[in-house]
Amino acid sequence: MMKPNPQEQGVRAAVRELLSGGIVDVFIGYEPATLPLRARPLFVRDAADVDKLVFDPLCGQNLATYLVRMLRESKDDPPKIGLLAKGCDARSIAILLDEHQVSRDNVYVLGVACPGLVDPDKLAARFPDQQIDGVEGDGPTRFVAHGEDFRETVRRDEVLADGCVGCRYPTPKGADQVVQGDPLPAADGPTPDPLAALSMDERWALFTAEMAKCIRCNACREACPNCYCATCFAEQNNPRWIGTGRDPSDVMVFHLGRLMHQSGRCVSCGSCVRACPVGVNLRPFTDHVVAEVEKRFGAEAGLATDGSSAMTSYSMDDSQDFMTGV
Amino acid sequence: MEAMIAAKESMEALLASVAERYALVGPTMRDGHAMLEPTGPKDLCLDFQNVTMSAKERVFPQRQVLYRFRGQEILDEPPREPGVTEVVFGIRPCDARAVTMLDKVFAWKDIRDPYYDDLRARTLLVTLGCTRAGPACFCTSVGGDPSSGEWGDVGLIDLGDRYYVQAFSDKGGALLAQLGDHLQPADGQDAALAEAAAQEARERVPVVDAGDVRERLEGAFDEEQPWAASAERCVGCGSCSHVCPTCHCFDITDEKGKETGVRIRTWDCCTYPTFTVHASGHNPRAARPERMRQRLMHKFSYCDENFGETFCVGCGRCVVACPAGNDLREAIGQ
Repeated sequence: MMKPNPQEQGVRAAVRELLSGGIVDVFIGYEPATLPLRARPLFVRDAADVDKLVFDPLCGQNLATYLVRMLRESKDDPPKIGLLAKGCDARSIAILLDEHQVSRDNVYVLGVACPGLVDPDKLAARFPDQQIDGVEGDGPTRFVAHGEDFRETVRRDEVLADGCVGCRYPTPKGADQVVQGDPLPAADGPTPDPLAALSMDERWALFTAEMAKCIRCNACREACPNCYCATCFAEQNNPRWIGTGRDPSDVMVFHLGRLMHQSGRCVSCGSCVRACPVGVNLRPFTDHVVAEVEKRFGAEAGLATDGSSAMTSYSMDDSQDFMTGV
Repeated sequence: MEAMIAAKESMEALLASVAERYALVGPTMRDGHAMLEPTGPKDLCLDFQNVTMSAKERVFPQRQVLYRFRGQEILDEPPREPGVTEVVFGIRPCDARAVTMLDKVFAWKDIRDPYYDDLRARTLLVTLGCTRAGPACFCTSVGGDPSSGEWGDVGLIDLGDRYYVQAFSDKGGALLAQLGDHLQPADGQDAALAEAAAQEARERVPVVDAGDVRERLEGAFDEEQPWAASAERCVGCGSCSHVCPTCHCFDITDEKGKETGVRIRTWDCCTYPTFTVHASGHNPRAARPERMRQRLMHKFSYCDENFGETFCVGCGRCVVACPAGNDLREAIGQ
């Protein structure tokens, strides 16, 4: 058993109090998964399980995706759910609050100042001969990777997950409590649009190449907290919009539909990309959507819970030119 | 049929000879994933752990057009089983074993499925024994063998600078006869080396204690619910069943045009809420625990009941693919 890092200790102490004080019925955090360099959700109801909780730069999955599921399945007796939230995850919770999917009374947000996520493949490539047991933040510019008889620092930007580059909110906003740590320095400036420099032909080539990989398993959709529709348009059959198979036109319409529905809502958490079993990289397209909404509406996702976000509000001054030209 | 030897340096020529006669399908590397795709002798890559999507797709595609129709009239005859048109080269033994399980499904109670039979008859499976185990492999714990070619038509075992090649069916024997220019007879020493390599490969596979899994799961159906933890983590995507080489549930839908339409078969998945939803709106498996239970019981109880074997070959793909870190080995081990 590894010695817990200081942030994990803080998380465990906070969760112990939340459970013993009856503030939450269940707390969702992370535990190590069974495969190396992976974490998975842990649902804690019993104080005896609190010491299983971990938090490190391998804890990627956006846990907000469980909120609507659990509340829907519980129906008459909704539990009070505590949730460990990185900056991006907290923005996802804000969206669910803003869109009236979750009541603020049902959720306790335990924020963690996020060190940025490590890309496990980059890390394994950096230390090819070492068995790595864990990683933690080490000041603003480094991670420490460690294993048995092995502890080495690595520059953060060498192994940082692509999705975390340019993160503006590593430390959550709107949380009930934040466990501090060594957060990723917050970036500023507009979100770069990876498609901006590409011609329409180049965009099409990139899109068709990524879409050709898709197996329509819906992992991207289910990993995404924003995708909470009880029946996705892809599965509606009266009328039926698209087929369920891998016909290229069905695959493309599914993803275009999903991407359009992310306008003003995608928080760039990267869960869709990590969830994909066949390596479809949706990042250029989600970043494009994020950059477009910033440019046209001056809005960022998951910062407002008062109905003023780009998707839930309308103003006569809203930019209309997206309907008439590129 | 006697065993043969194929030198690695002449593999490209051997594959070219296959490709002259048949469509060649094999592992190709794409953005870090080994995918099983139509390819050429130069791009086929035999240095891989396992293909991300199994060989299931070659005989049971994710989307298959069954026939075209106009009104009540069916425009296409059911296909008749043709000869071999496609050689799937270099799949792992677990994938070939899984295809033999699918064979049982699509011939259940002697009802033949002509659309499956057509693709199955067209396909010739060449397996390549494993030289290393993946992080989630457990084939030997569920009746598999990482080196055996017995479930395919031809089996290869890596002997370093050459492959030990055996035919396991008439189809396989015919292929080797066609490739005679690229093969030499194996001798007794090669056979001994192949057996040693096979034994080493078997020993490398991590073991899961899955004994009595059917009885244990059936006994836990109502009360203990050993699937509860994984059901809670499950996000309800279908990545596990899409990568699974034995999952075979499907849906049949009509895609209608103005005058004609096509009837298609697509994969379905028991972790989807829509899997069992009735026309009335009632869903007998309304929540995730019931769906996770179905996933485990189907593989380890109902298939054993219907087909005489549990439908898991221990490839570990579902473990690697799950975005929520679910691990089948925990659910079936004791």
